[in-house]
Amino acid sequence: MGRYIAVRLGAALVTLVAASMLIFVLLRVAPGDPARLMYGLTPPPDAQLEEMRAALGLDQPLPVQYARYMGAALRGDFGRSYRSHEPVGSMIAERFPRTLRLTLAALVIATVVGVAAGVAAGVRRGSWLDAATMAAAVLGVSVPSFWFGMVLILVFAVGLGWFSVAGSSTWRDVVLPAVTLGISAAAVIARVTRAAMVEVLTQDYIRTARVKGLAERVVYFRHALKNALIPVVSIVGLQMGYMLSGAIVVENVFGYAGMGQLAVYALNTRDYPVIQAVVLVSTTCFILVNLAVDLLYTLLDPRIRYA
Amino acid sequence: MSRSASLAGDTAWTRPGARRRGRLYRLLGGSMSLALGGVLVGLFVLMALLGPYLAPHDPLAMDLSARFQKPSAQHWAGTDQFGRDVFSRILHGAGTSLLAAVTAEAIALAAGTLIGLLSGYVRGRFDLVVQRILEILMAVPGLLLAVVIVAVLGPGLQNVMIAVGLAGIPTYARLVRGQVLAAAEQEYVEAARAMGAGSRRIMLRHIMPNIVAPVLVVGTMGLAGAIQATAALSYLGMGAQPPDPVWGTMVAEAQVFIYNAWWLAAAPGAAIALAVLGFNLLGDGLRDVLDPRTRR
Repeated sequence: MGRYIAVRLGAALVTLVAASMLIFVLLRVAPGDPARLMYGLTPPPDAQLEEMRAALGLDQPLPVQYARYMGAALRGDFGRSYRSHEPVGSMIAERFPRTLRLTLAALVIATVVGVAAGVAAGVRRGSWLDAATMAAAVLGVSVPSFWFGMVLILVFAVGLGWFSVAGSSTWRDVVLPAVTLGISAAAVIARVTRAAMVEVLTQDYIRTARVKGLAERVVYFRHALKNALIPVVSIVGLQMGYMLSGAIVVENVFGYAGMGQLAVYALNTRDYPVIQAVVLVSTTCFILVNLAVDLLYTLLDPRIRYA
Repeated sequence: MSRSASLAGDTAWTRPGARRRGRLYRLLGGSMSLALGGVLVGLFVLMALLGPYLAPHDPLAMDLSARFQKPSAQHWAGTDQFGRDVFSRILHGAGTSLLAAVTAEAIALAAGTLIGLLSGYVRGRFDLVVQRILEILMAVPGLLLAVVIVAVLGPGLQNVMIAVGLAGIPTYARLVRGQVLAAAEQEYVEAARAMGAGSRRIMLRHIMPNIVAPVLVVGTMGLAGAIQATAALSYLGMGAQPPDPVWGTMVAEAQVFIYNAWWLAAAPGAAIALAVLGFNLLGDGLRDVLDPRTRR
């Protein structure tokens, strides 16, 4: 077990380094001279430009540039924004907690709703409840989040006045974006939970439990759900990754000042250091979540024995 | 991450003697998903092909005296801030939306299938290297990868298609590789090899046909994802630029007016949702029909 954890940790680290290289190289080949972009619309004399290139380390070979960048990034220094000249690290530090809050809230909503719906549907397979839940699930993954978000704003913020139309400071500002972000994940989790429940309920030990005279409730929740949740754990981890993607869209619908909103703003203003930092931080989160899920998996499922 | 590969290789698609009973029944009347999905996709494709001819108005013609009109007999989906007919714009946008999704999906499918086929068949060091590269690509959340690619290539619908396509390659590469690994174990492949068939022949004539079904299912659902992704990137302003009538862009433009003209966002949003729903249902239905394991 200890060895497996060490191997997985190592692999995650290698993936992270490789992914950061990929992002770094891609954004280096992006059009535009960073030194020139630093000056905005009025290009300075060539000598000054050379100076800026040297200051940014752009006269160094690419591997050296990468090593310097990552060395600084590990200390929280992601360079400066081309536009505002603010340190990118502090821009991220301000926005990352908001995106994390949004993503976690969405994950909780998606997991609770998804597992509940999936169990209800799986237990009553073939019933109208099953059909209705699964129909809702297909609808849930099909509706575009940016549009669903607008519908929620119209109904719950404008119509009923329960929530603010836009913002990112109080918990009330998180509710509608989190529901929007969580809806498609809830649908996916519901489908996986249902399938796992249906599969588990055909197992011999369930029959044994029933023969022992246990109440259906005990059979479902004590015996079936515990085993059905194993595949659900891995899908929840994957969904977290999709949410980091989805946050880009959802944050822009609600004017929620997180990393996703920052990424789009940076893209529109060609602020590459900011894009790079956002993608790097999100990718790191995704890799860490996947690692956590993998390790959790081995704890949950004693059948998995890693060499 | 290696778990998903083993899961993909473990399906019953290639299991010999799979149940075929009831296939026709399910094809004709048993699968609601297939029927409903087929109808929605059919309508979408028809709209994409015939939309410009069916549109009652010019999608770009402004009429400032008819701004922000509610849906009516004359303007089925109302008019926008320039007095343009929203329904005509949706009809015109269908073609672009479908073309964007199909192009992105074609890139992902073609490149992914080729990589997966080679990786699964050649195996060894090549496979190892390819798998690691795919793992790196999959480590970057999909839409963020697309954002980086758009940052490099510049905004525009064409670059959005390329970005979504590239981001989708690992899915197919992994799926096909898993299927090929499973299929390669089958006796018919051994038999073909014993009869002296070469690698290319075995891959294309023997293995390929046996992995078409899962690729078809995933590809159908992938189209749903591609419509959503291209629409989302257009919504964020990275795709087609106004005044082109593209669904995602139309929703973005409408957001400013949502408080007094809800129909501006409602119509293109519903169009995206129905198109995506159609492909999702069709994919679900195809799986029910093609995968002998799923039973309702």
